[in-house]
Amino acid sequence: MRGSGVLFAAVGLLLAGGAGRLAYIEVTKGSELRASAARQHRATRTIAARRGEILDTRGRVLAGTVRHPSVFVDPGLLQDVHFAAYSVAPVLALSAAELEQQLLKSQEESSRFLWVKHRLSPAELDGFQRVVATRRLRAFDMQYEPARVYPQGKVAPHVLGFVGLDRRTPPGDEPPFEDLCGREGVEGAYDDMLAGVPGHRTLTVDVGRRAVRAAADNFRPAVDGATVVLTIDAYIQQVAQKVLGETVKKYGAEWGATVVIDPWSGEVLAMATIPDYDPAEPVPPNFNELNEAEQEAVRGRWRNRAVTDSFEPGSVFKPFVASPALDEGIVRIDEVFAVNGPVHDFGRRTIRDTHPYGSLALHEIVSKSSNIGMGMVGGRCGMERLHRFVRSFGFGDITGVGLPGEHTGMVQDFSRWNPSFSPQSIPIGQEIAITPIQIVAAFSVFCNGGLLLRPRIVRGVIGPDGATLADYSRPIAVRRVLEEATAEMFRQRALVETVTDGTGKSAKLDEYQVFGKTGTAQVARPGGHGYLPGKYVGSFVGGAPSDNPRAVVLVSIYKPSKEGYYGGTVAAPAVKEILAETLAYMQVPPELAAEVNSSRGAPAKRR
Amino acid sequence: MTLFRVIVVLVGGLALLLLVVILRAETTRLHYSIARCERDADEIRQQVVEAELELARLRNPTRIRQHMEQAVGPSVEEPPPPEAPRRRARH
Repeated sequence: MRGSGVLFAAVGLLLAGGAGRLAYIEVTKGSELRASAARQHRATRTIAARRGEILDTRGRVLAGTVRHPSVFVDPGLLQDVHFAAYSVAPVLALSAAELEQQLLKSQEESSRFLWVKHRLSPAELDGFQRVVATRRLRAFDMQYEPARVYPQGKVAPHVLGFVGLDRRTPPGDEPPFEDLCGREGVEGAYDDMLAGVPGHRTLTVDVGRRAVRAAADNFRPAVDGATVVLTIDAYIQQVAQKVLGETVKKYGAEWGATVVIDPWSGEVLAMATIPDYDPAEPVPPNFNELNEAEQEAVRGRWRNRAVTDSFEPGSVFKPFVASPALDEGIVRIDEVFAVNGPVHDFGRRTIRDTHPYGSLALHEIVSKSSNIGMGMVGGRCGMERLHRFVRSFGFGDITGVGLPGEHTGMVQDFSRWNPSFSPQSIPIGQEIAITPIQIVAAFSVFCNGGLLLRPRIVRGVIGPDGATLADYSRPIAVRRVLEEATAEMFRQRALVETVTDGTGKSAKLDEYQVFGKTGTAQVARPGGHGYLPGKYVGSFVGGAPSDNPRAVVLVSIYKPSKEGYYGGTVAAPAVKEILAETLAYMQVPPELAAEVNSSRGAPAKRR
Repeated sequence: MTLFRVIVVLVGGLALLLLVVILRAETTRLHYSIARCERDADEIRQQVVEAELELARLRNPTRIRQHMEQAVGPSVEEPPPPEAPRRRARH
C-alpha cells in the first residue's frame, strides 16, 4: 500500500515536472516554436492556372497547353549521392557519373534545388516513380511544367505569336512565380486573358515536403485562362502559307506577305509572312552561339510583316484615287484621256508608261495601269482632294486589326506635299507607304458596297466557364468611302477588266470571275532619297466572284531576284491559287461554269 | 489505492495513448492516400487535355485532305469533254 503510494507520487511528480517544463517553454518560446513548426509542416503551394487555348474560326485548336513532368532534387536531403545517382540516372536515360558530379557540386554549394531532367516521357516517369518508391529516395520529386503546344503545326505563327517562361507577379502580395507569358502576336496581345489567375493552397507536408493533407482555411482555386477565338481559318491559312512559301522560293524574294479577308465582315481568314518560324521553337537552341546578324535574322522571322511593314505600293494604289474621283464626278468611267505615251511631262515631273498608249478611257487607265493616265486624273483632282481620298481609305491610320506592332504606314503631312510632284506621284502609289493589311481593308470597299470596315482577327473571348467575355463578331464600319453604285461599277468595269484584258491576266480562273489590281513598285532607299536600282515589290490584290465577292486576297513579294518582278507575274498567280482553293473550300458556286454549260444546252445563269 | 488499481489506471492510460497514436497514424495514412488520389486525378485530367490536343492535331484539315486523297484518290472526276457537233445528214 505504501509502495504503491510512492510509485503514484513518483509518476505524478514526473508528470508535473513535464507539465511545468511544457508551460515554461510555452511561455518563453511558444510563438517562436509554433512558427518554426508551421514552417516545417506547412507549405503554401501555387496552383498554376492553365493557359487558355487559341481556336480558329471553326473551333480547331491552334494553341493549347499541356504540362510536362520534370524531376528535381533537394541535394541537402541526400545521404548517399552515389547510390541516388546510380539509381535514378538509368531510368531517366542520363549519365549516372555526370549526375553524381552535379549532385556533389550542388552539395558543396549548399544548394537545395537542382533540376534533374525536364519533360519526362511516360516510360521515364513510370520508371522514376517506381525507383523513388522502392529505394526511398525522398530527396527526388517531380513537378509539372507548362508547355505550349500547337496541334496544327506551323499554322499562322505570326498571328499566334509565341510564349516564353517568365516570372509572373500575381495580384496581391503573393510572390512571383514562373509561368508561360505571351511574347508576340495574339499570345502577347491577349496575355492577360489567356493567362488566367493562379490559385494557392496550404498543405501539411511531411519531412520530405510531400503533401499529406490540404488545409481547408487557405485555399483559392486557380481560374484557368480564357479561350481566344480567331477569325483565321486553319485550312485557308495553310493554303495561303503554302502558296506564299512556294512563290517566295520560286522568285528568290527577301520576304512575302499575304492576307485573305472576308470583304463583307472584315474578318481576316488568313495572314501569312514568309519566312516564318515554328511557334513551338521560335528561338533555335543554339541562339546564343549565333553572331549578331544571325540573331537579328532570327528576330526578323518573328515580324508579322502584313501589319508591321509598310512600303510604297505602286500601281496597286491607283484604284484608291480613281474610284473616289469617279464617285465625286471629277472623272467619268468612259471618259477618254489623251495619254500619248510612253513619256509625258507634268511640269517638272516626268511620268513613264511601260507601253505607248494613245488614248485610254478611265477604266482602261486602271486595267492597263497607265501611270500617265493616273497622273492626269491626279492633276484634275488637286492635292486637297487627293489627300482627302487617301485618308478616307484609312491610309495613315492603323486599321485596328488587334495585333501588336501595327504600323500606320506613311502619309506625309499635307504641308509637306509638293505641288510639282505629289498630284502625279500619289495616284501611282509613290510618296506614300502602306501596309498589306491596309491594302486589303481598303480594297474591300469595292466589294461590300463602299464601306470601309475595320479588319478583325479576333472573333471573341470565351471564359473557362463557357461565358462569353468579349464578342467581336459584328462588322465594324469605319466610314462610307464610296457610293454603292460607284463601288459596283468600278469593280465590274475597271477591276474585272484588269484580269480579263489588263495587267492581271495571270490571276484568271475558269470557275470564277476574278477582279483585282497589279502593282510593281520600286523599293525606296533607306532614308527616303530615291530608289534602289533593280529592287521591286510585286503585288496583286484581287477578289472573286465579281458578282458577289466572298474573299479578297493580297500577295506582296518583296525584292524578287529571279524570273520576274512585276506584280502580274510574281503575285497574281499566287492570288489565283489562293482564291481557287478558298472559294472551293467555302463552297461558293462557280460563277462561270453556268456559261460553259449554257454552250452545251443548259440554261445560262450567272450567280 | 491498491497497486492493482494503479496498474489498471496506468495501463488504461497507455492503451488510450496507443489508441490515439494508432488513430493518428491511420489518419495520416488515409491523408497520404487522398493526396495520392488527388495527384492521380490531376494526372488523368492532364491526360484528357493531352488527348484533346491530340484530337485537335488529327483534325488538321490539310492532314485530313491528304489522308483522304491517299485513301480514295481525288473524289471529283473531270467532266467529260463536250461532244463534237455532228453534221446533219442531207436529205
